[in-house]
Amino acid sequence: MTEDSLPLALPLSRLGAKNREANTLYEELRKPLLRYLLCLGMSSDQAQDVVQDAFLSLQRHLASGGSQENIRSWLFRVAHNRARNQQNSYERRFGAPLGSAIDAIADRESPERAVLEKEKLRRLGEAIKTLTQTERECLLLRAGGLRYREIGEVLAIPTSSVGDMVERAIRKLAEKCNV
Amino acid sequence: MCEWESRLAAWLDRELAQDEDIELELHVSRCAQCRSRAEAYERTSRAFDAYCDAVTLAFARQKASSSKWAAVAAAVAAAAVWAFLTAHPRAPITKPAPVPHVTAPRRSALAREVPPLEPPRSSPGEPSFINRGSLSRVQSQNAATPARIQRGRFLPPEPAVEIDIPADALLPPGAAPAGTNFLVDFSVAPDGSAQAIRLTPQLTGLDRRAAQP
Repeated sequence: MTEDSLPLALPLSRLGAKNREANTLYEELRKPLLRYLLCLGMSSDQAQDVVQDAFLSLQRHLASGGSQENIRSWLFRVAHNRARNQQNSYERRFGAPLGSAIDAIADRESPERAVLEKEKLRRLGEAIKTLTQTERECLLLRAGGLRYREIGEVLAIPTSSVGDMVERAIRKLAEKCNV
Repeated sequence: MCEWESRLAAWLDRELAQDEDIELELHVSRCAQCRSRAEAYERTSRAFDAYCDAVTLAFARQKASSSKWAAVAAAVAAAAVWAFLTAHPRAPITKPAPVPHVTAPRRSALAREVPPLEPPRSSPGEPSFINRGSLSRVQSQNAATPARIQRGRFLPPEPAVEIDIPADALLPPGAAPAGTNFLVDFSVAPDGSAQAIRLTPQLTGLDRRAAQP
């Protein structure tokens, strides 16, 4: 079972000439967006709703002749803001479903390696909880393939601050997890 | 602490300007501490990616599991509905059963004395071997079946077939009182099998006396 199995229907057919472009964006960015939102602690249904809303907003944005520059960061920003609006308990749920995920990963490994992997991910989960919200979001967006400039656009912070945040967050995790 | 250390993550992410990037690459090749730290950062980044994948996978599994339970719940609900319908069956809407064509045998002189077919009645003199329980069940089933009622509305009633059977053929010799005939009400199912057989004793002598002035 992979994230591919998460269905998401999106009515992009009315985009007309921009249909192909929007479909390409959808194929390219749906998974990273879903992953980002899930890692923020949203439920699967919530994340899919937010992704769908984000792409519908993109449809309206393109149809109204909006700027087509930095569409990726634009989509992440829309999804991020919607997620923040929806999610009141931002801290509470992060990392909660990790247990079953660790087990799922462990199934594929030998018993000894499974134990090590479990322990490593558990330590990492604990370390991630110690990061500040912005640090965590910076790392998640970076893991989604965004550049520092794009992360800055999503989170509305300067690019230099993004570099500092990423550096600090990585150092914290490396020190705590010793991976 | 090395002065370049704060830019290692940006260097790994190729976020530095080109000249700075080349400069830091040279430094890392010479500084064991920065090289070690850069390797640790890289491992941490990979572990973080794996963690994100694990969270995504967990949600996908959670979703699949909830879908599976929803399917199980739907199956249980369907079974409950099926059980309810089985316990409280609706009358089946069937095509009208074809009326069996039974050729009436030639009526004998004895049969001519047999009165017309009457509805069953419980009388104290009725022989005990007549299974009225099953008979009444058949009758009640027929009465409760709308299709049968509907058939009766549009089709003529089934022709009564009267068959003469000597009493000695049914009972031991002498068991039946003299002058007693049996009226046989015989229903044929649509598939040709016997559906119901009803024997009604008829005292022909009394009828004859009652008929005489």
